[in-house]
Amino acid sequence: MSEDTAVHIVDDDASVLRALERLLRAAGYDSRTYSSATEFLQAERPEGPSCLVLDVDMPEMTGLDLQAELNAKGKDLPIIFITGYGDIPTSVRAMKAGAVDFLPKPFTDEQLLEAVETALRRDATNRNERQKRRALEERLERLTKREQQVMALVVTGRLNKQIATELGIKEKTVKIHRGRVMDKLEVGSLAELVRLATRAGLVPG
Amino acid sequence: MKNHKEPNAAPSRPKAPATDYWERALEAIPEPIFTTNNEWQLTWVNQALADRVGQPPEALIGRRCYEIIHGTTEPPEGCPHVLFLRQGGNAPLRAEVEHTLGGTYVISVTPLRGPGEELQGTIHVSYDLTEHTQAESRLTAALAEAEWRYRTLFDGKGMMALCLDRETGRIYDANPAACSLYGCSREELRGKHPDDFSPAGEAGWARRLTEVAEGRSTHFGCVQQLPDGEVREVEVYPSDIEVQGRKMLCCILEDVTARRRAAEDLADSARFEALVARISRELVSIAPEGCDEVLQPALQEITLALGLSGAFVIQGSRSQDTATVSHGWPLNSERIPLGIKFSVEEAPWAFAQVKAGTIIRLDETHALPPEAASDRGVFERFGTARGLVVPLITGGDPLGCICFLSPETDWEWSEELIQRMQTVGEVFASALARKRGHEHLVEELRFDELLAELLAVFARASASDLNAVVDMSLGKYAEFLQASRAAMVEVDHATGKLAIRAAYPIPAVAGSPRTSSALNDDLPWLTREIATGQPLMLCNLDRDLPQEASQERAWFEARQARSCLSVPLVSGDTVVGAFLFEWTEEREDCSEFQTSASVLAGEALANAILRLQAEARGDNLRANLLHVSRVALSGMLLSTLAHELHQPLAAIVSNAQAGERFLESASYDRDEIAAILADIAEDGTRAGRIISRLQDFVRRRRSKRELVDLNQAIREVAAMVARDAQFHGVQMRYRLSPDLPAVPGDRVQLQQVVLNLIINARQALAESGTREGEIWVETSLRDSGKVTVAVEDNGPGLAPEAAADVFAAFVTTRPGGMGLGLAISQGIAEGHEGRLETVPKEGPGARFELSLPTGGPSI
Repeated sequence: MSEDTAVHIVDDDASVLRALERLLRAAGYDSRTYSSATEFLQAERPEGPSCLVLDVDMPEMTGLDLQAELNAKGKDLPIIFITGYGDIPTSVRAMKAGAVDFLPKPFTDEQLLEAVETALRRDATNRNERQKRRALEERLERLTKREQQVMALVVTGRLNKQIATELGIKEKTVKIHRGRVMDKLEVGSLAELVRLATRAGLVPG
Repeated sequence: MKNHKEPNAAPSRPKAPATDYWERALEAIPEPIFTTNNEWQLTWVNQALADRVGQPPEALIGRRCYEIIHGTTEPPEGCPHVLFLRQGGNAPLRAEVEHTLGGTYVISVTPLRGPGEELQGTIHVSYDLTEHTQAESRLTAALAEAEWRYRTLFDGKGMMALCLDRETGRIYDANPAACSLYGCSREELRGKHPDDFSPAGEAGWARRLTEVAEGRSTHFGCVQQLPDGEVREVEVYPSDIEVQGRKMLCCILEDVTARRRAAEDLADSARFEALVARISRELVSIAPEGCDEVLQPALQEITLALGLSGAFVIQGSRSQDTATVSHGWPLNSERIPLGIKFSVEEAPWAFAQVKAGTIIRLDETHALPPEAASDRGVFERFGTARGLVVPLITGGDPLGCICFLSPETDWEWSEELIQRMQTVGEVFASALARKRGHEHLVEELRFDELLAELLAVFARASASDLNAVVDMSLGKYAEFLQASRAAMVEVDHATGKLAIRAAYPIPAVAGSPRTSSALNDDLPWLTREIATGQPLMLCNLDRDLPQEASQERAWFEARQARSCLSVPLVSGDTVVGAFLFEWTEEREDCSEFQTSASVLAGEALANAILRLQAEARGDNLRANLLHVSRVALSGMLLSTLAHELHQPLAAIVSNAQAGERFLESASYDRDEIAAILADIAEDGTRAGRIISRLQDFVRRRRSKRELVDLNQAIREVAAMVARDAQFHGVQMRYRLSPDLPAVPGDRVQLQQVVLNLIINARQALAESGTREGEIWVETSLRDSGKVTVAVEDNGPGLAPEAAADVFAAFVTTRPGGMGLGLAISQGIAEGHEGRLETVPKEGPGARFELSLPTGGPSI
C-alpha cells in the first residue's frame, strides 16, 4: 500500500462515520471522514490511490447524487455504497453507475475490507491504465495526419495496395508512412501495432 | 249564714258566750276571714275582708268564694276550696293562691260542721304571705285576746286543740278532735304530758314550746306515738291564752301524717316523672345512633328508682318472628340474658300479647294463663314469671317489649306502677322507633351513596376496565353488606350452568375465577331462582334451602356459608346473572329496603355491565381495525425505521470489529478501546429506543386514557417520519403552539391520526410529482377552547367531490391504498369527542384539521 493511499468515508451518521474510520484504521488504512457529500466535494484530496465509502441516504445530496456528480466530472473514483435500506432498485442504479460494491448495513469487516481492497485495486489498475493510455496517446500524437490515416487502415488488416487506392496515394508512399508509424510508435511488428491500436481504442476490441 | 254563726259549739262547752261575742272576736282578726255554705256562697265576712275588698260586708254575702278570691265565675284549678272538697272535705287545707286582693295569699279552708258532724260549710282564712309572720303574730295576739274559749268555735269542726298548762306543760284540756286523734277521752288526756306520746329519741315538746315562747319559731312539727302504737306526724301551733285567769297554751294540732305521706308520694312520683321526663328529653335530644348510650343507663335508673330487681328490652326482628334481648340492667347478671334470641314458636302467646299491645302482668295475683303454657319456658328463663311486660308500640308493628322484674316474690304490680311503666314504655318505644328510623335512613342513604358511587364508576369506565369495575363494585357492595364472601355469577347460556365471573375477596390464586370459570357443581335450584330475576334472601341456609336444593346445600357448606343473599342483575327482560353475597353466620332478615333497593341496584349494575360488555366487543373490533391500520401504516414506515435501526447496528458491528483488530495488534490504545465500547453501548441503546418506538406503535393494545401533551406526541411522530420524508424529498415543517393544554385521550391513537395525515400528504406529494414538496404540522388552541392539529401540504389538493367522502372507509383516491386510513382517523377523532375534517386552503394543497376538546383541569 503506497503511503498516500486514502479511503474516503461519507456518512451523515457521526457514529457510523467514527466506527468505520476506526475499523479501517485497525485494518491499516488511512481514512478521511466527511459528514456530507458537499463537504467531500469541497475537500482537497491527495493524489494517491483512493476509494470512497459512501452512504446512500443522506439529506440534501444523496450518495447517488454524489456518484452522478463525480461521473459527470469524469472523476474515476471507485465507490463502495453503504445503505440502511438495501433496496434492489437503488443498488442496481448504483452498480450501473459504476459502483464497486453495495453493502447493506450492517456489514461485517470482511465485507467492507474486501470491498475496499477491490476498490483500491481497481483504482490502482485504473491509474495504471490511465498512465499507459497517456503514454500511448503521447506516441500517437507524434504521428502526422497522413501517418494516422495509414495506421488506422493498417490495423484493420488492409494491404498496402488497398490503402494506396483508398487514400489516393502511391503504394510506395504507403510503405514509407507505415515504416514511420512503426518507428514513432516503437513497435516491431504488425501484431504489436494492432494490439496498441486496440488499446488506444482505434480498433474495436 | 245564720246557722254557721249559730252555736256550733260542742256540747261540752255549756258556758258558751253569746254569738256576737265570737263574731266580734273574729271581726277583730286582721286577716280576711269568711264562711261559706255548701253552695260556696259567702255566709259571713269579717271587717278585714270587707275593708280590703272595699265593699260593705252585706255586698259580699251570698257571692261565691271563688269570685272573691280568684275573680272567676267558675272555681279554677288550684282553688283551695276545690282541693278541700276533692280531699273529702274532712280535713282543713291550706293552699297558696294569687288573690284578687293582690299578691300571694295562703288560704286555709276549714270545714264547718253541724251538730251531727254533717258538713255545713267552710271557714276561709286568708293570710297575706308577704306579711305572713306579721299576720301570724297578729293572729296569735288576737287569739290571746279571744281567750281559750275561742277554741270552742272549732270544737267538733275537725281542728284539734290541746290546752296545756304553761307551767307544767301538761294537758289541761283537749277538744273532741284531739281526743279522737289520740284515741283517748278528755279525762284520759288531762294531766298527761304531750311528751308522753313522743317516741324515744324524738325531740320533746318542752324545748320546742320554749322556742316558740321565745319567739324563735311560730310552730313546730313532732311525732306522736298513739297508745295503739300508730305513729302520727303532727304540726303544733301554740299560742298564749288565758282561761279563767290561768295562763295557758292553746296548741292547735294538725295531723300532717297523711299530707306528709301524700307529699312523699307526690315527691316520689314527681321524681319518677322527672326521671322519665329527663330520659325522654335525653332520648329526643341525643342523635339516634347514641340512643343505646341513654337506654342502658335509663334502665338502670328506672330499676333503681322503683326498687325493681332488673329490667330489659327485647326487640323483635323485622320479620316479627324472632326477638332478641337488646338492653338490660343489671349487666352481667344471669337474670338479664343480654343478646339471647328466641323465636315466636317458643313464646307464641307472649308474641301475640305484645303484638296486640297488651301488658302482661305477672305477680302474686296474676299468673300466666293456661293458654300461655308453651310460653312458660321462656318466662322462667327470663325471670319474667314475676314481672311486667310492656309492649313497645309507636304505631304499626311492635318494636318489642320492655320487661320489668319484680323486686320480691310477694310483689303486686299496682295500677299506678303499671301506668308509670307504660309511660316508660312509650318513651322507650319512641326512642327505639327513632333509632330504627334513623338506622333505616342511614342505611338507605349509605346504600344510595354506594349505588351512586358504583354507577359513577361504571359511567366513567371504559370497556377495558370492565373486569376491574365489576370486581370493585362487587367488593364495595359486599363490604356494605358486611358479607364475608361474594361472587358475581352469570348464567352460561351454552350450558345453562352458573359461571363465576368475579369473586370477593379477589382470590389470591392467579387467574382463578377471572374469566368465567364454570362451576364444577351443577346448581339447578339456584340457577332457577336467579333466572326469576327476584332477590333471594336465605337467612339460614340450613333451614331455608328447600329439600330439592341438595347440591346447593353441599356447595354452600363447602364455602362455609350460613346465609346468602342473591341480588339479580336484570336488564330489561334479560337476567344477566346475580351478585351472590354470603355470610358465615346466620343473618337477621335483610330489611325490605335492602331487598327492594338491591333490585334497583341489580338493574343499574346489569345495565352498566351490559353496556361495558357491548363496548368491550365494539372496542375489540375497533382495536382490531386500528391495529390493522397501524400495521399497514407501519409497513410504510418500516423501511425508514429499518434504516434507522441499521445505522446503530452498523456502527456497533464496525466498532466491535475495529476493537477486535486493535486488540490483536501488539500495542493498542486503551482509550481507543474505551471509546469504542462507549460508542457501542450508546448505539445499542439507540437501537433499543428505535425498536420500542416501533413496537409501541404497532403493538395491539387496549385503549388507554391519559392526559396527552400533543406537542410531545407530535415530536415523536416527527422522529418517525423524518427519514421517510427526507427520502422522498419532502420538507417537514412544524409550528407547535407553546401554550397547548393537555388533551385527554389515547396518545398512540392520536399519534396514529397525525401519522396518517402526514403519510397521506407525503404520498399525495410523491404521486403528483410535486417538486419541493412541503408538509406543515401545526398545533393551536382555538378560542372555542379546542386544540387543533392541522396537517397541510402543497400538493395537488383534493378534488371537491373527493373531499366529501374522503373519510369513508374503503374510499381511496390512491390505487394501492386500502382507504382505511382516514376513516379510522376520523373514528379515533370521534372517540375523543373531536372532529377530523378537510379545510379549504389558499393556494395548492390540502389541509386536514383534527380538533379535540381539552379536558379541563379535572381530568
